[in-house]
Amino acid sequence: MNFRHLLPPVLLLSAASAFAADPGPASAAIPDHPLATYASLGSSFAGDTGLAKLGWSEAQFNAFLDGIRATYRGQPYALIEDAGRLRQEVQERLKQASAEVERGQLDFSQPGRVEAYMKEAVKQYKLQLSDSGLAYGINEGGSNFHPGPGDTVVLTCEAVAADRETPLPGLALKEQRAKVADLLPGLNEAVQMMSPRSSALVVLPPDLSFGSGPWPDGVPRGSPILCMLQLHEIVTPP
Amino acid sequence: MRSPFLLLPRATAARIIAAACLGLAGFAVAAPEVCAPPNDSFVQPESTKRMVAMLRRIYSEADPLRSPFRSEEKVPLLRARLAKADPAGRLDLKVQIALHQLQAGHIAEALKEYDEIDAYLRELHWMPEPMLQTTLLTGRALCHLRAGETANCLLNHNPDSCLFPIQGGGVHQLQEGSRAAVAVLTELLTKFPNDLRARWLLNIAYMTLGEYPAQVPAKWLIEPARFASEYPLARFPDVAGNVGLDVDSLAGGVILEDFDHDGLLDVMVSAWGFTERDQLRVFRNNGDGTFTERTQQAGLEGLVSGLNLRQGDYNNDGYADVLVLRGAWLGTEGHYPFSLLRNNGDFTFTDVTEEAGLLHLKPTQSAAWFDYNGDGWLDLYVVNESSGRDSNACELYRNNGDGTFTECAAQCGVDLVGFHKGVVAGDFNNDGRPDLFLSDRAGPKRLLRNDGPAGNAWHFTDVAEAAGIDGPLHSFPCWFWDYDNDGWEDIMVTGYGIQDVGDIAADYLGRPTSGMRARLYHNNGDGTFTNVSKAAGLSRVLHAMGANFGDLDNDGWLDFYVGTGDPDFATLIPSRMFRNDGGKRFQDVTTAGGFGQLQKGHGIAFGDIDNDGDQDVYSEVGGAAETDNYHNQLFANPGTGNHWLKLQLEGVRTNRVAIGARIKVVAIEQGAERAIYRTVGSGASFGANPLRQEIGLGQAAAIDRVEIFWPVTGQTQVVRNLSPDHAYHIREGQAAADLLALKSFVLPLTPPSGGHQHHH
Repeated sequence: MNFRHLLPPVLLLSAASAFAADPGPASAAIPDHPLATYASLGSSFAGDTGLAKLGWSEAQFNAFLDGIRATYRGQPYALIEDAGRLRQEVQERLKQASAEVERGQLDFSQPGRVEAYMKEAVKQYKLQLSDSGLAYGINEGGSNFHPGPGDTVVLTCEAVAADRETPLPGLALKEQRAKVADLLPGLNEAVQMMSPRSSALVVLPPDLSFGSGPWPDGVPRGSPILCMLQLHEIVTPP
Repeated sequence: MRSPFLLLPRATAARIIAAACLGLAGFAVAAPEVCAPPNDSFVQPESTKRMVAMLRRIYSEADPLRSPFRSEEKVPLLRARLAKADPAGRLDLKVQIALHQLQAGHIAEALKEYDEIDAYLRELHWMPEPMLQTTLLTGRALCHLRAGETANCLLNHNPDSCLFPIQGGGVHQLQEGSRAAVAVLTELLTKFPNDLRARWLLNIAYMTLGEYPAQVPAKWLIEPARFASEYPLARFPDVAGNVGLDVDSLAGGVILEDFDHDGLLDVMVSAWGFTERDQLRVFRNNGDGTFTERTQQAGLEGLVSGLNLRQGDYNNDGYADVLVLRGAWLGTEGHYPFSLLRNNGDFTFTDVTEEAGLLHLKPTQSAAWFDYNGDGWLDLYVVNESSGRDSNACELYRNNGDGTFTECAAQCGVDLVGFHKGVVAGDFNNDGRPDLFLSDRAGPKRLLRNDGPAGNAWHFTDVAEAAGIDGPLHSFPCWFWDYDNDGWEDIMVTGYGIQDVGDIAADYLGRPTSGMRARLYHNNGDGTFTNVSKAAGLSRVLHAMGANFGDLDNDGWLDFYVGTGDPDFATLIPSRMFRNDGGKRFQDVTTAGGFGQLQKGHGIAFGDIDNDGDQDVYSEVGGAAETDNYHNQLFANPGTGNHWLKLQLEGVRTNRVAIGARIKVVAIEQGAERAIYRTVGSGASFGANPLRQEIGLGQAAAIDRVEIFWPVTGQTQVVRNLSPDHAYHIREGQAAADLLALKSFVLPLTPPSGGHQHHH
C-alpha cells in the first residue's frame, strides 16, 4: 500500500522544495532590470528545479537556453538519444536530492521535527488539529451516530509510516471488530468523531500511538503514523 | 436639526457635553439649549423613502425557492412539484414540505406531513435508511418541542423562559408539546442509542418539564455537572421585559450608543426579515428605568432586514451614524444594499447611502469603520459573501471628507473574495496604523497588515500565515482585544461548524468531536501570534454567531459573551458567557450568571445602560426561519464592588468619536501600578458596544494617569488627576479632562405596575 497517491501535495512539495531547502548561494539584489519580475521568476524557477546543481559549463547552459527559446517560439528541437539520457540523469539527480531532503525531514529524533511534520500535514491536506495533537479530516458518512468510548465498532484501517509509502501491516484492520477503548489513543479519538460509513485520514503523532512504550517491529519509533480509516458499523453492546 | 454643539468652539462644546442635562455647578449653559428634546416633527426624507422602496422591490422580485427561508411561500411551490415526481423525489419533496411547514409555524400541518410520509413508506414497502429514520423522528420531535416553546417561552414569556438549564419560571406550564417530544425522542434513542442529537434534545425536553435530571434515563442523561459554572458569578437577571426592550423578532444586530449626547445609552436593534416585525427600531433611554421607542419619529419606518449594525461617524460631527448590513446568508438572493444612516443629532436619522456613494447590492454581514489612511476621517471596509459563481469582492470605501466615499479596494489590494462573516480593525503591530482581521465561513483567516502608502494607493499585506493564524477552518465572529493587558491587541475568532447539535453534546460530555473550536491568538509582540486556546480554556465548540466583550465584574480583565446557534430548530444550545480570570484563563459562567439563552443568539453589546458603573449586556435573540422569532434580553449587572472609570474621548485631528484611539489606564491597586488597555471601537464583529469606554479597575482606589495614543498624530496624551468611579470627557490635546456627572438609575427587576406590553 502506498499513501502517496492520496497525498500528492506533500510529495510534490517535498520534491519541489528539495533544492529550495538547500540555502545555496545567497540571493543577489535584482539588478536594475526593465523586466525585473521576469528575471526574479527565472531565478526562482531555476532554484526550485535545481539547475544550479548541474555543474554545466557556460556553453552547455547557453545551448540549454537556446532549446528553451526554440520551444517558446514554437519550433522545438527534436529529442535526440543523448538528450534523453541527459534528461534521465538530471531527473535521477533531482530524485536523489529530494530523497536526501526527505530523509532529513523524517529524522524525528531531531527536536521540532514531529511538530513541523504535523503542521505541514495539517496545512497540505486541510486537516483539523485536535487539542490532543491529532490531525484529522473526516468525510461524513451521512448519519449523525457517533460511537462512544464504551462501544465496539467494525473498522478498516490502512496505515503507513511517516514517509507516506511504507506500509505498516501490523497496524492494519480489515472490517474488524474492535473496542473503541482498546484502540490506540489517536484512533480512539478519531473513531469517536466518525459515523458509520464515514472515512477519515488521520495523522497520529507519536504521543497518540505508542508514545514512550514499546513500538512494534517495522514501525519507526517516535514517528507519526498515517491512517486511512473506514467506520463500517457501531456494534451496540447488548 | 443639527447639534447646537456645532455652533460652538470645540472646547466649549466639550464642557457643554460635560454639563449637559447633568446640572453641574459652574456651567452656565442652560440645559435645554444643549440637550434639546428629540425632534418630534421630523418627516422621513426622500432618500430614506427611496431606500425603503428599493428594499421592498428587491424582496418582491426574489425567487422564494432560491431562498433557504421563505417557507410560507415555498410550501405550495414544492407541493406543486409532487405530481410529477418519481417515488424517491416525492419522498424528498414531502420531507422538505414537512420541514418548511414547521419553519412556517404550521406545526399541525407538519405533523400531518410526517404521518403521510410514514404511510407512503408503508405503501411502497420501503424500510428507510437509519439516517432517514432519524430525520423523520427528529422532525416529529422538533414539531412537538416547537409547540411547547411557542406556547410557553413565546406566548407566556418570562425572564426564565428558555434559559439553560431550564428551571423556575422556565419550566413549561403547558406540557403537552414537551411530553410528546420526550416520547418520540425515547423511541428514537431506543433504536439509535448513539444519536447524540436526540440525546441532547431529550435532556432539554426533560428540563422544560421540570423533570431533569431525575427522570432522564441514566444511559441518556447528560449530568448537570457538565454545565456547572467554573466561577460563582452572581446572576444577571433579564430585565428587558421590565423596561420595554424585549423586542420580539428574528435574527439581527444591536447598537448601544448615546445617540443624542444626553449621557445615556440608547438602544437600536434590527432584524433580518422583510416584514413589519423586522423593522429597524430605536429606543431612547429616558434615564429613569424606562425607554421610549422612537422608530417612527426617528424616520426609520420601513427600513427592514438589517442583520448587523455598526456605528461610526462618517461626517465627523461627533454623533454616531449607523451602518445597517443586509443580504447575508441569502446567496444569490442576497443582493440588497446596506444603509448608512446619518445621525442628525436630534434623535432622527437620514438614509444617505446613495448620496454618500455607498449604494451597492452585495450580500454582507460585517463591516469595519477605521481611518486606514490617517487623514482624520473614518473609512469603511465592507466584507461580502461569495458563493459559487456569485462573486462579491470586499470593498474599501475611502472617506473623501465631504460626505462621500470612493471605493478603492482593488487599488489597495483588499478586494478579497470569500464567504466573509466578520471583519474587525485593530493595530496588531502597534505601528499606529489600523490593520484588519477577516473571518471567513470556510476559507483562510486573513490578517491584513496596513503597510501605509504605496504610490497612489495604500498597501495592505495578508500576513495571517506568517503570523501563525491558521484557523479555525470554519468561523464566524471575531474581534481584536487586549485580553491580557500587555499592550498588544490579541485576536479571538470563534468556530462555526457542526454536523448537528450532537457535536455540542459531545463537547459538553468531554468526547471527541469534529465541531469547530474557538481560537484565541495571543499577540507575541513581534508580528506573530500563538494559539493559546487550549491553555486559556477556550478550545470549545461554541458555535457562535453574535459576540462581544466587556468587563462583567469590573476587575479590569475583558470577558466575552457569544450568541449561539444556527437556523436548524434542533440547534437549541445555550449562548455562553466567559469570565477572564486574570488574563490567563477563561471560565464558563453561563449558568451561574443566567446567560444560557437556548434560542438563537445574535448581536451582543456590553454597556452600562443604567450608568451605575457596571456593564449590562444586551442580546439580540431570534432565528433565521420566519417563525423563529424570540424576545431580546437585557441582562442587568447586579454590581461587583470593584472600581471603574468611564472615558468619552473626542478626537481633534483623529476622528471625532476617536475610533482607533488607544487607552492605557495606570491604576494603583494594593500599592502597585497596574496597566489596563482599551481601544475605542464597537468591539466584536456582530453586535456593537458603545464607543465610550467603560473600564473596570478592580480594587484600584486611585488612578495615577491615563495615557491616550491618538493614531493620526502619533502623540500620546497623558491625563492625570482622575478619580475612580467617575466619568470623564477627554479631548485630544487638552491637558485636563472634563468631569461627566452621568445620571444613573436603577433597572427595575419587576415589570411596571399595570403589566408590560411585550414588544412584538
